[in-house]
Amino acid sequence: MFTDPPFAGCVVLVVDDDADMREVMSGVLEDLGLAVIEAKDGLEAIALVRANPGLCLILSDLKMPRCDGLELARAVKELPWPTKPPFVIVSGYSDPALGRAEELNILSILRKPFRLEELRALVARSIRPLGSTPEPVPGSLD
Amino acid sequence: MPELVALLRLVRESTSPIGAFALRGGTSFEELGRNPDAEGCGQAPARADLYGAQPFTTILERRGQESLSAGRAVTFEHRCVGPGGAQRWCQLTVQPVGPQRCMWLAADITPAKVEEVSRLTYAERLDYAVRGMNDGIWDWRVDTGEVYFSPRWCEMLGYAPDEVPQHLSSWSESVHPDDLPWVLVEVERHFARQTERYETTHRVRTKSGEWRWILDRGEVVLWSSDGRPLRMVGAHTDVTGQKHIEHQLRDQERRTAALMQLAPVGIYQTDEAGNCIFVNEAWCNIAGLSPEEALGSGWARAIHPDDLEAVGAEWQRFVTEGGLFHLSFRFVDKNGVSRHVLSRASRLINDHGVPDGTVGTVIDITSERAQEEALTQQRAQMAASSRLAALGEMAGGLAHELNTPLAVMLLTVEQLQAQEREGQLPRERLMRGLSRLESTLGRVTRIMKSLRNFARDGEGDAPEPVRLGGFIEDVLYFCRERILNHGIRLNVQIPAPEAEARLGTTQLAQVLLNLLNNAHDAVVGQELAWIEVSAEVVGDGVRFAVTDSGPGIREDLRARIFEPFFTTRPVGQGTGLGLPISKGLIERMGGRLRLDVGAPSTRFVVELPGVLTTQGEPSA
Repeated sequence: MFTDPPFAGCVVLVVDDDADMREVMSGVLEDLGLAVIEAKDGLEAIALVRANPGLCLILSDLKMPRCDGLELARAVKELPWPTKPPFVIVSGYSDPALGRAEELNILSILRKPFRLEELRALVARSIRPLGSTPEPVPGSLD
Repeated sequence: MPELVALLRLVRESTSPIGAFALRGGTSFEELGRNPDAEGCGQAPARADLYGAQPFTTILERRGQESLSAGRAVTFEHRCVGPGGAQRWCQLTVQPVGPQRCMWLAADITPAKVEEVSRLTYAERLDYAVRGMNDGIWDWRVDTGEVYFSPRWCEMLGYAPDEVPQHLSSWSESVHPDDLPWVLVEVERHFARQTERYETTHRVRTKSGEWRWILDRGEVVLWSSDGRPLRMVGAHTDVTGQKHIEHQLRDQERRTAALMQLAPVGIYQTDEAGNCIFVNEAWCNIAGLSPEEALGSGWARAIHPDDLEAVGAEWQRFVTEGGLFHLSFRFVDKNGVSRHVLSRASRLINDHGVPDGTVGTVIDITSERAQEEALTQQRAQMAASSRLAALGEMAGGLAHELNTPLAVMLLTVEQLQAQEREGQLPRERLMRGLSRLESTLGRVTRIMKSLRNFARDGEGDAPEPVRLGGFIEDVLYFCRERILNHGIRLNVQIPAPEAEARLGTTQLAQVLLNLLNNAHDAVVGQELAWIEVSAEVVGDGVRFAVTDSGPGIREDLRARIFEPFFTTRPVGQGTGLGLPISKGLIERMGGRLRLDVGAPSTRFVVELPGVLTTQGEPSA
C-alpha cells in the first residue's frame, strides 16, 4: 500500500496534548506518505496553520490546555482565506459543543480509541488534494 | 298590798296604759288612790310589803321621796318580767299631791320600748360588726314600710344619704326587675320562717344607672305576738367584683370544657395516685377507649404491652422527680391497631405546694412517624443516588482519561502489525513501539487502580500509608479532564509529595472529589477561572485544601452549608448532601472539614491530625 502513496506532498497537522498520541498518529500518517507537523495545543496549532496555508488536513484533539479544539476550529474558520484546510476532531470526549460542529466547519469527528483502518479511511476521504477543496462527507458528523 | 300586787300584775300583763294609783307619800304610803279602770286596784298595799326586799318597791319608795323633795313629778321606766318570762316595760310617773302624798301613774310601753331597744341594739351591733367593711345597713319596719338606709347603703348606690327616701320603695325600685320577683319570694319565705335568714344576690341600679351585684342578707328581729314580722334588719354587700370573677371563672370553665372537647389533642387528668379522673373525646379517639373505660387505672389498657414498662418507668421518674413527663410510645386499640403517640404531662401543685395530680396531653404522631420513616428512606435513597451521580461523574472522567491511552495502544499495535506484514519493522521501531505500549499500559493500570480504590463505598477500610503526591494525582484522574475541559486552570501544591500518611484513601478521595466538583461548579464559565488543590504536612497530620476563584459563599449561608439537604443549586441539580456527608466522613476519620472563612478565596480545608507516617522532604 505504500508503493504508490496517493498523498505525496500533502502536509497534515496533528494537534494533541498527549505526546504518545502525537507520536503514534504521526507514525501512522507518515506511513501513508504524508508529511506531518505537530502542535501540543491550540495556540501552537494556530501559529502553524497561519505559517502553512497549504495544509491538507488538521487532526485536532478536543480538550487541551490554553486553547482547545473548538477554539482552534473557530480560529481556522475565521482565517481570511478563500479555502481553508479541512478540520477533523479526534477525541475521546463528547462535548455538547460538538453539536455545533458544522458551524465551525468541522468536517468530521473521530472518536478515541479508533482502529488504524478508521484513521486511514478518514484521512482518505477528508484530505484536501493539493490545490483543491474537499467535499464534505455526508453523515460523518454526529 | 293586794292593790299594788294587782297593779303590778296588771302592769306586767297588760298591753295598754293601765291608769293611775296613789300611794301614801313620804317614807310611808298612807293612801292609795284608785283608778276606776284599773281592776283590782282598790286596796292600798300594806307598808311592810312596799318596804319589802323587792327592788321594785325600793324603787317606788325612792322615786316617791325624790318627787316629794323636788316638789314635782318624776317619770321613769321600769322593766319587769311578765308571765312566761316575756319582758315588759312600764313607764311610771310619781306626782306629789300633798305634803306626804304622791300619786302614781303607770303605763305599759312594751311595744314602743322593745322597738327602741332593738333598734339601738341591732343598729349598734350591726354598725359595730360592719365598721370598716363596705356593708350598707338597712332597717325595715315591715308594718309601715319605713326603712332606715345607712349612709353607706346610700353611698354604695351613688346617692347622698338625704337623697334616698326612707321607704321600702327606694329599695324595690332599684332592684333589677328580673330579680325583684324572686327576691321578694325569698323575703316571704323568711317571713314564713322557712329560712333562718334571708339571703340573696341580686342586681341593684345605682344613681348613674349602672347595675351592681349586691349580696343582701337580713333577719327579722322582731315578731308580733301573733307571729307577724315587725322589723327586719340587714346589710348590703357589693359583690360586683366577686360576681365578675365568678362570671369569668364560669366563662373560663365553659370555655375550657368546650376546648377540651374540641381539641384535636388528647387531654387527661389523674389524681395523685395516677388514677385517671378525666379524658376528653380526642383522647378516647386516639386510645380507642370510652371515657368510662379510661377512668381509674383503665387508661393503662390503651398502652401497647411492649411499651408498658417504658411508660411506667418514665411515669415513676416524673411523679418522683417532677419536671415533665415526655415520652413517645404506642397505644393499641381493641382491634390490635397500634398508634404512635407523644404524651406530655405536668404535675398539678396545690396551694400547699404539694403535687395532687397530673394533667397531660396525647397527640397521635402515627402519620408523622410514617412520614419521618419515608423521609429517612428517601434521604438514604438521595444519598445513594448522589453517590451514584458522583460515581458516574468519576466514571466519565475516567473514560476520558482512558480513551487516549487506548487509542495510543491500539494504533501502536496495529501499526506494528502492519509494518511487520510489510516487512518494514526494524528492531528499533519494534522496541520503540513496545516501550510506548508499556508506558501507556502503566498509565492505564494506574487509572484502573484508582478506580478500584475509589469507586467503592470504602467504609470500614483500614487506613493505609500512601504518598501525598501519588494520592492527589490519583484523585485528579477523576476530575482533571472535567476541570481542564472547561478552561479552568488547575494548580496543584504539594510541598512534600514523598511524605506518607495513613489515610482512608477511598473516602478521603471521595471528599476531595466532592470539594473539587463544587469548586468546578463555582468557577465554571468564569474568566480566569482557577482551582487549587493542596496537601501539606502540618505537625503530625496532613492538611488538604481546595481553593477556587469562585464568587465565594454568602456570609449568611456559611452556617448552613453543612446542613443536610441545604443547597444553593437549582432544584434537581444538587442533593445538598455533598458537604454534610463529606463532613461526616472526615469526622469519622477523627478529622475536621471546614470552610476557611479567613481565606481571600473560597477555601475548604480538611485537617487530619496524627496520620503522618513518613515526613517527606519538601520538593524544590
